[in-house]
Amino acid sequence: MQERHPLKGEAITKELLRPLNQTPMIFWVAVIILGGILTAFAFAVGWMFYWGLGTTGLNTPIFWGFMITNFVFWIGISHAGVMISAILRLTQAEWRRPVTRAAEVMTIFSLLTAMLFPFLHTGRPWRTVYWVFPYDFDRGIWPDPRGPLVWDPAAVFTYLTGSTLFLYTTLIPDMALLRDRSTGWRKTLYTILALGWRGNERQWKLQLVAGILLSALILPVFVSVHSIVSWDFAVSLIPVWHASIFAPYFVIGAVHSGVSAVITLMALMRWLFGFHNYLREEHFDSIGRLLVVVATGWMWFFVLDIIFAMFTRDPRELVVMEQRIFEWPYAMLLAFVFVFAYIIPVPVWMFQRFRRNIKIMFWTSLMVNVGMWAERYWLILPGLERKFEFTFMWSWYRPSIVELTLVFGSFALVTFLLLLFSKIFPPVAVWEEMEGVNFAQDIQVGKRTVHATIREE
Amino acid sequence: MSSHGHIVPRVWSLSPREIAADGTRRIGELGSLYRLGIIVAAVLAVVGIVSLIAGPLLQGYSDRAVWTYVTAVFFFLMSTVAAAPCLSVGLRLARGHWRRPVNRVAEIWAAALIVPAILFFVLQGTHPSSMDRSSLWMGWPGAPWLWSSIMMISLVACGYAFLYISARPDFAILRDQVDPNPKGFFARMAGDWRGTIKQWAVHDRGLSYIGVFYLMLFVGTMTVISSDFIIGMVPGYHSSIFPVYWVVTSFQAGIALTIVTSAILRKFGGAEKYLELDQFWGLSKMLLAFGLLWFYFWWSEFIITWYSRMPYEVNFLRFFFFDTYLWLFVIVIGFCFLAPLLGLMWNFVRRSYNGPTVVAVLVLLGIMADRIRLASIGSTVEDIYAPYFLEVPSTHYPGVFDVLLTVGFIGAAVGIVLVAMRFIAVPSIWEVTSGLWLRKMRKFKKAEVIVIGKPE
Repeated sequence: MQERHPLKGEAITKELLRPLNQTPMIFWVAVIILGGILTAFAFAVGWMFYWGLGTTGLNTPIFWGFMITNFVFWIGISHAGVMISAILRLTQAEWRRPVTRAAEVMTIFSLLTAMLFPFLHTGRPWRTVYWVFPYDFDRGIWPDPRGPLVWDPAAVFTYLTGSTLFLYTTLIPDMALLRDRSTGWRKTLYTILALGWRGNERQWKLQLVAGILLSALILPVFVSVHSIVSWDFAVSLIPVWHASIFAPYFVIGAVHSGVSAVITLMALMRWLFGFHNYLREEHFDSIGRLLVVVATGWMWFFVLDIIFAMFTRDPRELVVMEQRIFEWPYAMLLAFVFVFAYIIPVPVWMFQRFRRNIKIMFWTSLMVNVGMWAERYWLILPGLERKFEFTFMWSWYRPSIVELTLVFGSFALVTFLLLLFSKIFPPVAVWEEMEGVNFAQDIQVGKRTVHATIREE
Repeated sequence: MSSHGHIVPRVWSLSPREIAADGTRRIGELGSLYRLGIIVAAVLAVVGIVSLIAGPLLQGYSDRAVWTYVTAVFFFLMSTVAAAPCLSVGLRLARGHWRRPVNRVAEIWAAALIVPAILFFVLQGTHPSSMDRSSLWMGWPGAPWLWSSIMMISLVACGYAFLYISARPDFAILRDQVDPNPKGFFARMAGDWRGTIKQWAVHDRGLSYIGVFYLMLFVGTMTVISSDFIIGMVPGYHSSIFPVYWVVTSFQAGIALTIVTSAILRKFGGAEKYLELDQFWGLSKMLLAFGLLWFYFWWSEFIITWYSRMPYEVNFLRFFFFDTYLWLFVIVIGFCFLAPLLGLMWNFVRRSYNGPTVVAVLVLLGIMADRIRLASIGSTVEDIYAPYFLEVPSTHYPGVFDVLLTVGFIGAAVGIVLVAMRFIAVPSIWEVTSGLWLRKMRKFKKAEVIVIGKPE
């Protein structure tokens, strides 16, 4: 059942803009801790650039390890924004309103973080320009457009551009609101970003149309990004990677982890900014329902991927599957994936009283992402070890302290950027909340008063 | 009458009493067209049964190619008749208000589940053992016959239970208004239903649970069918996306079938007050989305196979798409992807009666072509125990009996649904009525707007 918050009009605006004006002590504590981790991250990057990729656990033939796992993971998290914002906007789900901004912002920051990792992974990032972009026309040296490593940047940059436009379109009315309520450098910034917004009928109509169009246009990009990332693996002939299900399997896994991350973020925002009136139990309830469906779909794909790898009866596939299912550490990781990403959270989310418990939702959503990170690692690594017949070089991967620092640093980076964003822009869309309040109605059904809403066009 | 962009449905001007009276009238009155439909369907059913006996059954079990069109019609009915109730489940879970008249149109097809079930058990006798070849069952005792039979029986039983639970409140209305005889059909079916708060709570929860169970069973059964009848029959073919493609395209066919049924009910079934633009608009958006998904799942498989250029994978491409069944595949991609994309991308087409109906008919034809293609692929590989797929078979063409049994069994399914409509109100009386309570017209600033209650 829909719930209502008690505030109206100006009170909502004031409450939602509070993070921009007040800074609780915990904010500074978080900034200091994250700053420390980011310093270590920067040091690890510098160390790796100076000494080379030998400082990582990568070797021949295991050329992809923690960094690529992390890249795939953050690309997955970036799917939260479109899933929550675009799809729920198109389907006119009323409960989307307080959630969309955080999801969209997380999309952009996680995409930026994801993009960092292939660059770092090259060891010499300044040379990547030669591999991706055409250069030196006289000598006729061109990157191979048939290679998925060239498709990747195209897809990711398109998604980043689309997501940024999408976020910006929804930010404009709030920028105007802030422009009219701020002074100094903030006023200058918001004036520029508000693009002369006055909130007249024509502007609202354009904003609405732009939002819907971008929602529809970004959907194919959303699907293509993780599909193309999956094809980095699947178009190769490495056992267990060469699977046709990889594209939708990666996409649904991304939605699973991304939407779970939105729950984590919502709970943190509720505690940090005191948004109890906006990020209500009903929102956790609705996302929990959505996640039950998404997680079950993901589990179906996961099981199909395992079954059809064994279906072939190809000795190379079988030996890698045996390694993945029965050998240390992959057997433990598999159990980890099952338990953390499905067996614990989904049965919990089946019950409304748990879906409405913020602490439980926070911890289960966190568990999903731990499980999903492990799943990416479990998918990528075993095939590369080449522990099958007639290979003359096989190896073992153990991540170095540099890689561990990079992975933890990436989490710190995204969190730091989100905190920074919340100090400059409203983390919940004020205009969307106000629109929701204006659309809220009550109707009488028999003796009962039922919350209702005006149907959007 | 229109309001801020929406056409206000005519059903809103009706009272619950009028909706109940309309539903009972539809059950009671048998038009001449309805009778003609029943007769044609019965004749087709007989033709189908005779063709099955005269064709494949008499030609023997040994040649699997003989069973191609029995398999094809089984596939087609599973993809349409069995998939349509899933639409009803999905719409209920999504809680869209426009769904109310559509739900029964989709779930009434569960009545015809017996037809694919019969074909399935006929085909079970022709199914080779799963030992010594790639199979989903990996040497389980009794596989594939025992386990897939259990799944099929469960699906059919669950489908009928779903339809019954959904229709029970309507049976009670009909018991009270059409046939008050305590030993009559409606009284027996309605049981002790009085519409108490507790009964409604149990009904709503039961409908959700059994619906979700049906959906999961459908996905599981279709995964098994796709593996047993197609993937496991082509040596070396191990496409993990194929069961997903199979299920998603079945959902697409289920939506198309619901649109076509709605259009027929509007034209001939007196349901024009219930199945209005809102319903066609909503369904056509879903059909467009599933058309795009069709392409995505097909492309995801194609690019992996095409890119690898392994010799046996090139043979799959030649067999599936390019050489052997090229023209069928062209029909499939044209009708299942291009027609929804090029037709339904325009809002004025989506928001009409004829546009979605024409596209839905094309999609059904496309799915039929796809199932014939896949049944032919699964039935015509000679050595299913070979380790790799090295020889591409030639095209399998249908005979007269193949065509007759295909038309006949589709006619039988339609006939069963027509008979079911004699006893079950389509659209649902209780679901449309309950929607009335939750919708109001209100003044909002200068506009007249639609307000929708959200009790859940």
